[in-house]
Amino acid sequence: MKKISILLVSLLIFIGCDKDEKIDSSLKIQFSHTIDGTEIFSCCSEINADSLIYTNEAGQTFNILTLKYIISNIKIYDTNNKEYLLKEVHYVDASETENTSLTFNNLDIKNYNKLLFTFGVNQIANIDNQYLNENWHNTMFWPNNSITTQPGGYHYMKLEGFFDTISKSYRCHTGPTFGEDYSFELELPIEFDANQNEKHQIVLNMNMLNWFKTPNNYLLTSNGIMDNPTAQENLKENGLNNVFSIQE
Amino acid sequence: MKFKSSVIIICILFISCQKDLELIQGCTDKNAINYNPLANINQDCRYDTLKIYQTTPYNLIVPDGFPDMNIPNDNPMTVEGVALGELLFHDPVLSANNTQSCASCHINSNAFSDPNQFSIGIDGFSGFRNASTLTNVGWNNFLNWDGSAISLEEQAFEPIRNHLEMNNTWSNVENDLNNDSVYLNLFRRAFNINYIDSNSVVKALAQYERTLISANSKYDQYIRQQIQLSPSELNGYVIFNSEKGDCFHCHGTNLFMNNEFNNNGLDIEPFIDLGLANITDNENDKGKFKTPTLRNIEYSAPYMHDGRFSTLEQVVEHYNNGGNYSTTIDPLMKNIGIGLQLTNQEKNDLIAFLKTLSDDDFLNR
Repeated sequence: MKKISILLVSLLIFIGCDKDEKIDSSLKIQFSHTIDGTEIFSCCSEINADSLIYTNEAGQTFNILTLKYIISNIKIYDTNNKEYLLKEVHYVDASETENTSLTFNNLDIKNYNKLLFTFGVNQIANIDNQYLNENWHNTMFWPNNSITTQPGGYHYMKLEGFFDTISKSYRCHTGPTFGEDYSFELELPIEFDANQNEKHQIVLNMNMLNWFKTPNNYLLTSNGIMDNPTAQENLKENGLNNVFSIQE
Repeated sequence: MKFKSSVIIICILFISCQKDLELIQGCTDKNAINYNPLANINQDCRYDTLKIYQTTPYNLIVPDGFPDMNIPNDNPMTVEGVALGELLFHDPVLSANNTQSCASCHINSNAFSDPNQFSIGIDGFSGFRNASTLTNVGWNNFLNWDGSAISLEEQAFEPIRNHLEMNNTWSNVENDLNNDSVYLNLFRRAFNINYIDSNSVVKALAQYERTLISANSKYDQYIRQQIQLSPSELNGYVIFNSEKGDCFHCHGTNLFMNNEFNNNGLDIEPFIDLGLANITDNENDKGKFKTPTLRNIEYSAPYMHDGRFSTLEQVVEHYNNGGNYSTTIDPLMKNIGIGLQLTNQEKNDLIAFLKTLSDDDFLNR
């Protein structure tokens, strides 16, 4: 009996001492959306339809009232090129602070040097009702019953506002059009060493003016572009070029 | 030693079993929306210690292609709760003079809305907004045109005490219901309480309202590949879901709504009704109203928050003309003042599609 007791006590002590040595290193990705370095939905600014406060490459005055988008397959890579999937799909409403940042805890203790993500959702995952229970399902829904918007699924981005004159609205709605996938994958260099208990942050910045220039001079239009492959392609090429950058 | 151990173990078991009966919600929860301190008298708020009724979970079937319904943890749906809610919904006892029930302004055959532009309350006074449809209301994140309530439970408090509507007081309602042995019995069976308070009433009403599900329209049958739509209806469906008509940005998915607030260009400023801004006090929310579902739209006339349009033709014409500019108008309103420029045939097709959203099972339930 005494032996059993000693054995049990020893076992308990052993279990108690078998502490998890996992290091809690975290990465916060902050999504920012700027024009000339200023957040477009900064605190307390009151933007409405008649305040056309920006000018794009083509000389059009405009404002931004809505910026909502999906970013998917968010991955980081270590210096051995091993891939770590951080999140499958994330919705950003730039006007809401609660979803403009993501934090990932318990990272493997590695040196990381690359961020990779898909802007929008690629055609494998962009399926009707795929994200039915996400709170953005209704907001980002992209219909599939029109040949222009097939195969359906979800918008990649909704960028909306007014331009030129106060009563002209534009809607840069990107997504699959005429069966073509216009989502795009982007790789950006990052650099951080996930040392013990360190909190790391990177800012993924979207330079809004760059959606409208280089390589394509994009003109805002009051027509919708969900049925416009050229507009979709132009925005994709601009997005791939220099819309996104990492700011430490 | 052995005896001593046994006593300790029995004591521990006894203490853990001698758990106080939980106080019921509403009567004793001082954070409840309509906390009634009178309900605490004589320990009446404790569960009936003589008999605990077992409730039967209500099997809410979420239709294919619909998201899960958000049901509050403190109001799980039960067969007893839903049945009680239905009874209350149709009972004029909730109004001050026992003449109006919820169903007086939310009429089955009108998609649980009011065919009158403004509902008339028990004292003959008129409201200033059209009574909304309750079609699939369980999926609404906001209730009322201005989003003044964020749950069905919260919403149900208002019409009963609103002077323009039922003009009652919750004290009166509680007195009337507690003096009714049938209701006392039903509430006991649904919520295990022996004092009926306002929170239990709104919970029952909300449970019933969550069962108001419409998912068997001609459109649904088409999606399930059970029937075919006519060429006109199909063309209307394409117009609805493409840049041409662009209805889907606000009325998309199987819910045919976006759970958001939009200014669809009805009025110029200054607005007579501020809508969402009444609740948020935000200048940018002026003139914005909750976008309703279009399911059963054929039967939920008149349309818009103020019931200004009596026909679907008028509604389509509004969008076809582009509406009126205001500083909070939604960018989704393309070509403001010019509109969609649909032909007569396209307008007819669009309306034909909208009528495929009518669900006879729901309207005749």
